[in-house]
Amino acid sequence: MATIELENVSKGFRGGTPVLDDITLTIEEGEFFILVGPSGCGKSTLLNAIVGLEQLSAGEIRVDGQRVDHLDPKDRDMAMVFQSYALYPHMTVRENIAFPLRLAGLPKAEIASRVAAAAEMLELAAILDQKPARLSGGQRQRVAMGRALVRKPKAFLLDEPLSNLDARLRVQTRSELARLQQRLGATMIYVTHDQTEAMTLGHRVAILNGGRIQQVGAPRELYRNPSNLFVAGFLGSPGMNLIPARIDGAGLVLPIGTIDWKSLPPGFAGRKQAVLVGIRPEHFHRARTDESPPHALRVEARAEWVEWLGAETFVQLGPQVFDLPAGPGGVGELAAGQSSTVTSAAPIVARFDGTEQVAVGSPVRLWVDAEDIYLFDANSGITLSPSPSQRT
Amino acid sequence: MTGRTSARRLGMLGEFAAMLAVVAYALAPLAWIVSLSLKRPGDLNDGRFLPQAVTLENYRAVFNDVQFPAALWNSMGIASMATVVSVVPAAFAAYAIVRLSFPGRRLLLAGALAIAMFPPAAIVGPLFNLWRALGLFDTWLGLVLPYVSLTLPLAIWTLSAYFRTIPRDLDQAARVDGATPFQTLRYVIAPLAAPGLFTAAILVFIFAWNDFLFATALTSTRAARTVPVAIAFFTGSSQFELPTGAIAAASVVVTLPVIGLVVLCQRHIVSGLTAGAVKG
Repeated sequence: MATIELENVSKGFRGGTPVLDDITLTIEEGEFFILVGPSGCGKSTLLNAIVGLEQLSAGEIRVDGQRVDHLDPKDRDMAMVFQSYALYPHMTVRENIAFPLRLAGLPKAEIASRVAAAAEMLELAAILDQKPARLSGGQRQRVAMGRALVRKPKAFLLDEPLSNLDARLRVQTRSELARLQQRLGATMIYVTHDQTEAMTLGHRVAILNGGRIQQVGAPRELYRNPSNLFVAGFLGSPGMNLIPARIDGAGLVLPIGTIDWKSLPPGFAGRKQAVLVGIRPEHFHRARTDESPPHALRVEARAEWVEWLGAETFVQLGPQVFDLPAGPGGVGELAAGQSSTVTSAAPIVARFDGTEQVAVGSPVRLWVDAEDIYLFDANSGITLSPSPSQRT
Repeated sequence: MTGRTSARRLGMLGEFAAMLAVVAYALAPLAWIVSLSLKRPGDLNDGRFLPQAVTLENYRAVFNDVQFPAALWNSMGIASMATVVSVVPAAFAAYAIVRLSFPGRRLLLAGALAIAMFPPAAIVGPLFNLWRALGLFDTWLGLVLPYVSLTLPLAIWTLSAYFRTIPRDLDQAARVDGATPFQTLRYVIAPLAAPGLFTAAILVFIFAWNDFLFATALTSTRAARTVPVAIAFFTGSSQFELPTGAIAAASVVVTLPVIGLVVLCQRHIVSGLTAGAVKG
């Protein structure tokens, strides 16, 4: 197992925008590291660059301090699981798993015992003599895993390994994968576009967009303290609600109400600027009586639509409640440049407990703790510093 | 109900009749030659489709001929050599063309096609002089070389079309698993492209086996003369007799290996060999 360092890694195709733009990362030994981002963000290209299937335009890749970016894939000693699994269709499961060992020139007895060990770990023993065409999706996925781990490589690279499985199997395989990684103590780099996989599997997560790293950190850190609008909008489902607002003499002025200065973190006094306010759906609380924290934003709204999912209830409050500006400088324009997950027409969504009953069309009284309000620069999308509070 | 069934039956009958007509059209000359080869010399012009009496005399004559057994051996050897020497480099070339991006890739493919369009009659004269000067005249190599040159483009085109159907993920998986580019071709791509390889091999073999032009111009003796030429040089038992029966028998004999080859290879030309490779 190994530490993998990337330094100023860039990749561009002639006459186009860079696919990877100055990426610097360190993946620690034994770490389950996730690369996540929307499609086309360069995450798969980055993975291919690490394993050697793509050449870099600039930068260095080091494994345990040794430069590898000039090496052929076969000399990097990394194993990869492809999104398509890429099993060799003319070989049986046994031959598929043994293939890397055969290429490495291991003695027959050693190959047999290692294949047997991998087959046992992944419960493949019963299908060792079948060809891939006869296997189910889950079995193929496990064969691909077996072919990767039988070599005991320095690192495992996984490119959306669960995306071809059905929903139930995906959840099951996800936890199996996490246990497997823990048991092997392996360095794993895992590419996905699915934020749930990223949050549940990753020790650390790097969020990519447009070939650049937006933020790297533990899932909790990214969720609680996003460094910019993109990260805030990407994590969480449904996503963070974004409302244009401004800071002026009165405090933080939203279309739906005002929070006075005393509630805002220090550092904003005297400033005047346009901002975007971010509120996560779960931070809306239903006001039953008049009780609420002293520093809170109180809102009266109408339930436009209600989605009851058993354990939780999502209530759409409808954009018109907040009188969002649609013109230039609105959320829409900023969001278009930042992310596909944030759209201007997105209704405001509040998440309640499943026991809450809300009728469509009925008025709802809500409050949001000032501590839970995120502020982003309206132009750059960067989280305004000092952030409302260092959330933990 | 019954009307529709009978209409369908009529349609099937029509289809069957059409197929029968095509098969008869294709096989009639062959059947005629087989029939001729089994006739006695005196019956050759009797105008009957079936021989009055079956005799193997013509076949005996063919194999007792001084030329024919040697020619058969030459044909076998030259066609087999041309096949191997053409298909193996074609596989390398096609793999490179399909998987690597290098400058002039399109030009290479276009050039290959241009060579395939070259009329052989235009080069056979110069080759005759050149081969005599180089000592390649009337040798196996002297025929293998032009056959390879003319069939290589065809083989490259066939194989590159086939390699393109193999998912690139498989190459990449093999490379990550520790294979060199050659090992990738040898253990992963070539086995999956087996139908394409056999198709290319059959095409090359048949071209070399059937060629008359080069074989007649570039050979002069038993050392390298192939069957099509040997048949043309057949003489009867007397100079007043046309060796029609023997020619028919020889034609049947030379057709058999080709049919055998195709039947043998057909087993390997099964589609859907890549099923199960990548889709979930």
